Amino acid sequence: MKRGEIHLPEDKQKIVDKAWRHEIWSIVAMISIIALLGFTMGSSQAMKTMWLEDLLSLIPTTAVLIGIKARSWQPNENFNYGYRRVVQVGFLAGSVALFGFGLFLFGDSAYKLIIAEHPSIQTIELFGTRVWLGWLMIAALIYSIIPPAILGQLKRHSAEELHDKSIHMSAIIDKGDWLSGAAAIVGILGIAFGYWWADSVAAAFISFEIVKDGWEGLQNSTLHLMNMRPTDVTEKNPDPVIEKVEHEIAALPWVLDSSIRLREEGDIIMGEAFVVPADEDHLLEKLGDAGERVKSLDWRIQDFNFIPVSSLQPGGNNGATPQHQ
Amino acid sequence: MRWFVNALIVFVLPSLMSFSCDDLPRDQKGTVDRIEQTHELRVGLIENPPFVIRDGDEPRGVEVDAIKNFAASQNAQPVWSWGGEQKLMKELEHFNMDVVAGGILKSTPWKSHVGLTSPYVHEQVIATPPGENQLIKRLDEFLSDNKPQIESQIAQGETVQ
Repeated sequence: MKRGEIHLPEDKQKIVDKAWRHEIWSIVAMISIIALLGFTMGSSQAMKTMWLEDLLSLIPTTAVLIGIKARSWQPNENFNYGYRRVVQVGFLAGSVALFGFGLFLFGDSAYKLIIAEHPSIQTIELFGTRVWLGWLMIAALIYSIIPPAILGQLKRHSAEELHDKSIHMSAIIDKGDWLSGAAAIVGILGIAFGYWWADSVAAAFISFEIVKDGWEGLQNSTLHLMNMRPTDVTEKNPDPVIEKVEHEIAALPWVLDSSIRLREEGDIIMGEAFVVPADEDHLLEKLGDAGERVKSLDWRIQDFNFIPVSSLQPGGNNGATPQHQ
Repeated sequence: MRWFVNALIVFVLPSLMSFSCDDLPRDQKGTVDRIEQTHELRVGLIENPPFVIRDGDEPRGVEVDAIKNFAASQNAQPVWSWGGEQKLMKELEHFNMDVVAGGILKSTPWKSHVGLTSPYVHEQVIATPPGENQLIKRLDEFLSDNKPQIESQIAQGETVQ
């Protein structure tokens, strides 16, 4: 194993493989859903919005898929820190699309509500009888609900196991997809019972879901690209691993003073510790031992460096500014 | 997962049950109910042979015949008014008319303002007020049931021309 290479524990690697399959299934299911919804879409605003939501969800889902594959690419001459951030770049692009289209669709639905558009839905010939297209839309929507409802649950589970926020985001998008499908069904049923506004209201709800997904994705990817300190998988609380590492280093008998900084690279954590050693006897051995101790705290700490300094003040022998506590 | 099961029960069951209900989808402005009460079908006609032909007072043509028969099947009398497309479509959009005929194509620029039946032959449709889905359904069913008759009439009309 070369220095800087990233290796997950075996049980985690198995979950990575599972997550990869979930994303593949997701994309296959989504393509079939997009085709089916496109075929039955008609003039329903809710159907149109739903269709665009599924189409747009392909971008972040594909980004996650590529991100999972990119985990196995080791750092090389040009990319010294590996490819863990590929997924964030893809995610940023997908989120911009979701957010922008979501706003547009929300405006579109609100406009249709204001001008009181009455959606007309025809019948089509099916097995010798005329069937109202609305029933076919509902059938297509029921189909569209099932895969994201199941895959979203599975993805959330592996996201928590792997502490992977991009997979978590993918699970959130799935949840939005099936919720929107349910909303669209209500909208079409509303039309069936003669309430013209039900369609646009459902469409507005769906576009709101798209905006929310987009906004969360934007936040998520921007914060990570900016090296925010590690948080838990739901992005709400600081990761407990920060405190663990701090305590572990502060408790070393040869360390007078220390300060750490951590960042997340997708699922794994990288960072440095600035330590002021009490004496320089056997310093290299001590640093090596400390490195092993820190890595054993959590499998996610894959790349952690010690920087011995004479003082934590900026005037010390190392010019780097330690993190403020 | 429980969410999902609940969603299925709430949404799927009623929609399955409604497959047996003939009165769904309902009109959004109750056009069919009004026709049933007044026994009157207000028809806008745009001259466009062989679909709508104007000679004398009594209208003729493929779509005129179809609408006459449709009105009869609904226990109603057609009330004809002649006009240009612009005027009649506006009336239809504001629910002052029940159907407009005149060889309208399914790609008509009015399609986002009014309702349209499915094409009954080629690209031909009949226009309805927006969102009157029960009326559209009944027209679609009628036109589909009488398709052979309508097709032969069109073929005849074309040879006469």
